[in-house]
Amino acid sequence: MTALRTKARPIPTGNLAQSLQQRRKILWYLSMLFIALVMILPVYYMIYLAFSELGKEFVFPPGLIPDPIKFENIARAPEGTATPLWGFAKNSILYAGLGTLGALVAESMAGFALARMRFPGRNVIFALTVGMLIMPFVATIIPKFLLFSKIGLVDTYWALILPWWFGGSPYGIFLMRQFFLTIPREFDEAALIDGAGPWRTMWLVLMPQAVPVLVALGMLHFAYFWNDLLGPLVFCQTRVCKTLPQGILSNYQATWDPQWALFMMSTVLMVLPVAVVFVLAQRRFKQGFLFSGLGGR
Amino acid sequence: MITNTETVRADAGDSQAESPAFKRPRLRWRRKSTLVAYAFLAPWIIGLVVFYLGPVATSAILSFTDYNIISPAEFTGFDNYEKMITDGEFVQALKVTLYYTAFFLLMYVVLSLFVAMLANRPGRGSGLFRLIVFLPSLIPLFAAAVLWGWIFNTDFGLINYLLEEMGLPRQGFFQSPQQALPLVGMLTFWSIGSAFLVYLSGLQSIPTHLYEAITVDGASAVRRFWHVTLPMLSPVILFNLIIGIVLSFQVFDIAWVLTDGGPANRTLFWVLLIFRRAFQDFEMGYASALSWVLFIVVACVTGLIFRTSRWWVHYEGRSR
Repeated sequence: MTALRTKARPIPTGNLAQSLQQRRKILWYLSMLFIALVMILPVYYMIYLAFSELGKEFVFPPGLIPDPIKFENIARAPEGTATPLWGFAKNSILYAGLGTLGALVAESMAGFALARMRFPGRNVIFALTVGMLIMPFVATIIPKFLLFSKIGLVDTYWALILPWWFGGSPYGIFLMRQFFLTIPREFDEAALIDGAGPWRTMWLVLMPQAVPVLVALGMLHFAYFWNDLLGPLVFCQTRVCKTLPQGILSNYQATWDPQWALFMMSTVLMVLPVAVVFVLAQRRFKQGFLFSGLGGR
Repeated sequence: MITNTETVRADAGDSQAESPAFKRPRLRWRRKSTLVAYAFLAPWIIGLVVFYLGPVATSAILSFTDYNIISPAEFTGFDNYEKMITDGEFVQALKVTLYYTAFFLLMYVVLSLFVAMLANRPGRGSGLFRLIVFLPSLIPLFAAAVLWGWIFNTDFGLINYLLEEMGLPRQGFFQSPQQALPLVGMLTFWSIGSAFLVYLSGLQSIPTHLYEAITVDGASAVRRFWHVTLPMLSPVILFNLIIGIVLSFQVFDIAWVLTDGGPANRTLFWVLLIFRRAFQDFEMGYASALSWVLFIVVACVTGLIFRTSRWWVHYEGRSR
């Protein structure tokens, strides 16, 4: 495509076009570098603290790397200062994994119906969905807690996961609807001629094109569940289903000395798997791109 | 699949009603469509009623009562709503939240688009760049708040240390009534990750042939942005704008962990005020009224944006 672009540009040719391209590329790299440096600062400081020696986290002047680098923090952090973190990690994996899966399926189905079908009540349901999107969470959390405690779901995984299986989030439904609207309807009509009903049209024709959006939405969901503090705080007060954020916080509130290095190391270890999933997932962005819209032809 | 698309394209020129192959399946689909559509929506409709509308209705009823959890709720009419007008803290929370929203939208809707466009250009390092932009959004909020608290700490903070080394005066940051709110607003730059991801997938869904066509016509980068990127991306921009407004009006965590609304109520966000009234003063009725007004304000703003969206949002596959 680059070759095509330079060839098609009518006036600047030869050296001039090349130097223009070159200058633009340098500008692009410089702005990326600047933003990357700004973005990485808090992450770097977090890692810095995580590898610092206990009690020497905040010495001045600070070096570029902690001195000495305490690698044993990696092994010490999961053991916790009061309770080991492994049990909390298992609960977090269950919550984030099952929650993400259920939410993606439900959101795609609802988004598809709202974008592609005509039926009485569609506008009402869409308006209600957007309405729920803007409802402050504090207004629903107390009645929700009362409901869950009445049917005995408080302090079980289900209180965390179940709401996401029933339609996921209004955010996801809205996003999937917006995305399906950008796909030309010719695809549906083609599937229709092949005899596919709406169910197969959605899963076999539209969903493969939605891979970039699904990956992005899945990442957002997973990261949200993984870091969610308020939900577990309200619905899971026993050890049975407490998640990692609760585990880390309770560990370091349990002692008079917060042990910052271990606190930060626990958080780093908690962020790491999500970061790895993101690296793996973002390759799919490109693959999804090949199949998306009419651009893949 | 590709062949079929071509066939439909060719057919579209002719009269569609005359083609029997086209007519039959389309009718069959439509007859059952209401039932089928509701089958697709069934999980969400159950969730909508049980987890959203039910709780929302409950808190709506509570907003007309005086309720402290221990004694039964007492109906007081519009008292809670009248109280709001004279509540100085509410007026302050309103101002603080609007100020923050302006900051947040600049970061979340405008800046994140430019960052996403930087990342979308194929080239060495763009994958790493995406990871770096998204990484800060992965830091759990409780940890991020602790971290920023240390970095901007008035007495032991990294920034104040650097300022002193350079011979500049120390700053109050989170302890200064003038600086606390702008600082909290600027810190939202590190949480553009979700808007960034949504923009990125939107950018990647733009068909390349549109860019090829406009480039052949000799269009500059600015014109490519203005005539292809912006219109093709406009549904996604609408999405991020609405989500941005919703998120910023509900800001809570950072104030809760970092500033606790201070100094001098300068970071007293609306939801923080609701939280205090509900869980510290146990004025559940008044807190419910506060959240209802918040809901109405957000509903009006987003409703207005939706109204204007028909003038600036372009849908490729709009269903009529």
